[in-house]
Amino acid sequence: MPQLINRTQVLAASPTELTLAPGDSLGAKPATLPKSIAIDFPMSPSGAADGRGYTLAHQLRRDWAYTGTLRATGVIGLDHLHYLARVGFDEFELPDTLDAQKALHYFDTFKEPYQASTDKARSLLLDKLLR
Amino acid sequence: MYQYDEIDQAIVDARVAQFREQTERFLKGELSEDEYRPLRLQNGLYVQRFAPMLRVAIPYGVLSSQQLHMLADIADKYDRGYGHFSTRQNIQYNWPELAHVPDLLADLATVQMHAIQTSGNCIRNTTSDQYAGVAADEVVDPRPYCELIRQWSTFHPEFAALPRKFKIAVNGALIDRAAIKVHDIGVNLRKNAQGEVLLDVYVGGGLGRTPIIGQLIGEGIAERHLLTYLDSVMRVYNQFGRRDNKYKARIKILVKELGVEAFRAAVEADWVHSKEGPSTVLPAHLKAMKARFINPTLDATLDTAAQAQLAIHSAAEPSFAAWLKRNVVAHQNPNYRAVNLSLKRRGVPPGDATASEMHQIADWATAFSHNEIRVTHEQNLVLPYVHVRDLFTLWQGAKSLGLAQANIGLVSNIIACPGGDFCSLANAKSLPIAEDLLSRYDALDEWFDIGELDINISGCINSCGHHHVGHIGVLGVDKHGEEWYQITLGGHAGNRPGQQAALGKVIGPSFKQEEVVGVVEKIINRYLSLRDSEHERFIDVVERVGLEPFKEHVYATTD
Repeated sequence: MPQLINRTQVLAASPTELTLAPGDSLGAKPATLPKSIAIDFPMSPSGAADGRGYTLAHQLRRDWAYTGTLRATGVIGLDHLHYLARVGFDEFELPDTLDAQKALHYFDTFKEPYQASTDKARSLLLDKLLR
Repeated sequence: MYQYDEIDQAIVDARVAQFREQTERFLKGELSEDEYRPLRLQNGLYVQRFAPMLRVAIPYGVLSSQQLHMLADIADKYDRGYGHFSTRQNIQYNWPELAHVPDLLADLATVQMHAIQTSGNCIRNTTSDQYAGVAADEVVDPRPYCELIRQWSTFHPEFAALPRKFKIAVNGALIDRAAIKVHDIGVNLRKNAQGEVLLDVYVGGGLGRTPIIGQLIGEGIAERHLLTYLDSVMRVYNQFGRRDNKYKARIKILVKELGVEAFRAAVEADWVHSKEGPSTVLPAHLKAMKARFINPTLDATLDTAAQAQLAIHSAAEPSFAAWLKRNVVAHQNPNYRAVNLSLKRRGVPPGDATASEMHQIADWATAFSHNEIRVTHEQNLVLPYVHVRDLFTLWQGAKSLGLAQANIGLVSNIIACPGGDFCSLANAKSLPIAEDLLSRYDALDEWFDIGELDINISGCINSCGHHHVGHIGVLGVDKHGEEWYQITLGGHAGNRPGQQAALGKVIGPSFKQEEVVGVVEKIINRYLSLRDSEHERFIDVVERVGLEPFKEHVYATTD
């Protein structure tokens, strides 16, 4: 099992801004939450995209009931924006070369996604069965 | 079979538009090869030895006649007039042009089909029993559960960049034809004394480099928890699965390293957040999902005249009788049978079918099987609703096209990946070995004399030919730049009700291509001399006597 790093102490020392690495685990909810949290998306040593940040974001919103700003940094592009927004990100560090206006279009790739996630408490795939 | 609603259709259509736009950006140079690769992979598009290979999902193996006609049309329009049915209920095209793939996907979408998540580090096509819904030994029809899993896993936002690929299989019968214990997640559906459906969830099975039998993580879970429990298993894997080494990145390694208890505890710690929440599958949901599977209306009264006619044909035509014995399977309705059309014949790679064969099989499905076809992990096709009165006519038609080899479960029903002839991952070719074996074992009498025997061939350790669960497994290995073949014995995915799957064991040093057929022949001959009667199958003898008698025979005479 990967080493578990408790960030609670770090949080107490730095209440406004926190950066989480994908391998971090949340631990107990701290008394005060920062206004902004960034989660990094590096490439794995195996050469594949490291998707732990998706689950970490979901857990932050769910387990800590975190309502502050959540920023995605690292190896992200237009084609990830839809998934990132669904799990709870609201800021996205994109390369300078990408047009921000154009990027907005990519949030709506799938207008009616099947599953519940951070953005949708209900499961459409189930709800649509009873319509 | 399941019928899409407008949301299902909108999602598949949106995917076509998304992939078209991504491919345009790549062709214009706005996406690098490294950026485009994971995007195309999650649409089943590999770059292979000669051309891109496109893998199209056949969810839990179910096809309509209309869909099979479309697969045939695609083979003609975008490929070289054939397709390859794989061991995971997919079809693969070996020669499409990258620039044409968006149009190909648009054609597929018109018949409710897609290539979503057929490759890449994501949840792949969910597989199941090829006889789902018709099997005589079925306890629970797995198809509605498979469809729930298909939709839940389609574009799941949390699980699109997993440590590695992820395969889910579902079984609902007494005999596990879905091989659930060699999948990342295997779901076994059963009923308790009250008739309620329970799930046994096996996690961490798999073939490949480190073959492992899955462990029972969730036992007797109520069916309403299907999606929330799977969510939690995936979340634990996404969070803790290894990403430092792609060969240790599958969930089986995590389960092994953590141990079953710790893994289960991690799943349950996450599950408390969603258990009984909005993704709980209520009885009304399952009822509605079952209603989406529009099953054909079958004759309820026993057709004794047709049964009598069948007996007459069977007595008069020994080769028809042999076909009935091997390729025709009992059905829940006594008037019907599930019929295997064998795609194992000399001169054709196992699982390949031409466009004209696909059209013909689709026409037979229309005429004789209520428009439905199934794709099997043994790389054959099944017509699941054939009335007893139509069996003889169907057999005559299949025979005329060379699709009536009575070899299901026998020596010539060889399962093989495309291997080094097509696949850029392969260490060695699979197809010449399959062809050599098909040439050597070309006589019906000999197939029947040898009896039940599964031969599986993989061209590399990725194990797409499932050699670990072949009674005889053949694995292509690279030895100083040359193609060699390792032989395993005694593997199976569970042959009898309740039987645990087993992984084959290596008999010894590997062989050159030209030696393989001789070695298999020696192994089979040794079996024939060891069996106590023709009722003792090959796999039974290997279980009884172990590997030694086979090793002695193979290696003693090789020198």
